Amino acid sequence: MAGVAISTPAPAPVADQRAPAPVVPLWIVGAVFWLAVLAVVLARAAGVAESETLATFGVIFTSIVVEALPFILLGAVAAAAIAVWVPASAFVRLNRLLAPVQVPAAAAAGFAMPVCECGSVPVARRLILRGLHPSAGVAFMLAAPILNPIVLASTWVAYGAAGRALEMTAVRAALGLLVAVLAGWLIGRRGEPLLRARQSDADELGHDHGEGGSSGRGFVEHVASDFVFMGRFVVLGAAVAALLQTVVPQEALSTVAGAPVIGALALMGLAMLLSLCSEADAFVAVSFTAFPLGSQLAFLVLGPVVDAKLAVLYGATFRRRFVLRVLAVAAPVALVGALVFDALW
Amino acid sequence: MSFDTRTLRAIALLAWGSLFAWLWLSGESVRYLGPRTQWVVPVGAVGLMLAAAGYLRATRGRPWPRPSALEALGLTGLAIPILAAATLAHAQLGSLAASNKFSSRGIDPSALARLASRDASRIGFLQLNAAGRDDGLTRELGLSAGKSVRLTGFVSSVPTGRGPFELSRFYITCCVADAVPVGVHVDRGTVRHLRLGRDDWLDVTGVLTRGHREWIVRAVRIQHVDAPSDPYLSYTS
Repeated sequence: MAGVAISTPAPAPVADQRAPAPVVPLWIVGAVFWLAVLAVVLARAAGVAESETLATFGVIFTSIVVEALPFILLGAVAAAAIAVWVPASAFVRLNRLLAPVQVPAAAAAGFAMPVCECGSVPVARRLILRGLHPSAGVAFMLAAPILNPIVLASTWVAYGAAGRALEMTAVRAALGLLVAVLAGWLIGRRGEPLLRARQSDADELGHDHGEGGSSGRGFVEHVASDFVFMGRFVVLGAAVAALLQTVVPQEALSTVAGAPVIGALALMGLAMLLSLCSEADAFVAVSFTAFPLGSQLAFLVLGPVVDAKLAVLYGATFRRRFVLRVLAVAAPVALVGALVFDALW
Repeated sequence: MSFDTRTLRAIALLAWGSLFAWLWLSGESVRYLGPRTQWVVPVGAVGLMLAAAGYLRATRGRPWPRPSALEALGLTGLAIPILAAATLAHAQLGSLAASNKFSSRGIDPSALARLASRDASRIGFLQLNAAGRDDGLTRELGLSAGKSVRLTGFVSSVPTGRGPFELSRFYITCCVADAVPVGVHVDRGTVRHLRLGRDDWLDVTGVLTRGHREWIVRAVRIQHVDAPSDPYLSYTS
């Protein structure tokens, strides 16, 4: 892949600006609030929590959001720090690096980012907005959830008892790095705009944090803006993941466990369906002992880069078909990696 | 007070900060998160409260537009999990989730059991379930027919006849999305005239008997109990 060319990106690769959206009358906001309160009271009185389906959906849904939002906050804090305190010249210097070096270097930086996939999206978005090449931003975003030290440590612990800690951790990291670098090279190589436009970006450009305000003020505004923006899509993604977990029986997959290719594909599908945090997925994967280790590896490589929750988050952050392009790169790498792993070990 | 985008964003941050604070102070966070990720609750509570306060302070005195339809919709969406938590307080995963998720019927959780067997002083669902298919683990744990055990769990399946029912617990790591149900069959033994329903919580005392690739608990005493405040187990508990 050393021959892949990466063209110089536009400084701020954001899509077209939108027209101002219509405002919502205040009485509607108030009515929504009181209707919500009424709905909670009525639902509790009606014993909604006694419904197996609703309780299962609600608990999984709330749990995913409760776990993810603090990571979104941490990601928003990191992204805001980048926006406010890292000078644009730093990214200009990074962009002078040779293309074959830039993307792997950005992916390798994932080792230093101890957040899961929810936190890496706002950070990558902010890096690209600040002028980092989209290829490098995508590579960093996809690498961080697999390569970060917490995830590698949890993989080591989960497979340690089975005596496969070194192989599983090393190959997971290697495949994660490969997915990130390939996706970075292939998706952003032309330097075309990848990010969706956001009204808040235009608002931020209109605010001068250097003169009219302080850097601290800009930092807080960025944190709030990113958290509120990303948070709503985490909620939507969590709802999709919880719905799938509630209505789709996973036992059906056990019938294909013995078949290497189908088994790996089944666990890859399950990884997308479950939307687990990459810091915990190894403990779930290790329980799939009816499946070959390679299939478990495919689960661990694909899940942190494409799942139901992330699909919504990517859809809100990047332009159309981004998630399909990531899937088109990550799924073959995970599948081939799984088969090679089973053949070698 | 003007009711603009700034105010709504601050309300969203404060609302979430309050939910995390409530989860933290009430201990209800164990219904959603495992031991590995409990730390996110105080981080969320303090971080979001600080963010809300800082945001209000940093943006005061500046005119802000009313929320757009999209912004209002997004902020409403952010409130939905808070409403769900308020509506489903004390709810937990049960037999429906156990039947949907991969369970001990479809997989062999011996690898997980080995994680747990580092603390083999306590015999739980995971150890019993895995040892049924693993003679080495059975020896390591000192299991044998007639050994007394006591388990507290929920009924995940009830046979139509008088055969053994399944008593289960969920094991979680980060959050209940990664929960793995692990069950043990319980023979009613001398406990007759017991009315059982799915999701009933039971405290079972009995002795082990050997089944086909499993350890079965023959009950000596079965008591209905309230669900514990922390309904989930972890691989280190």
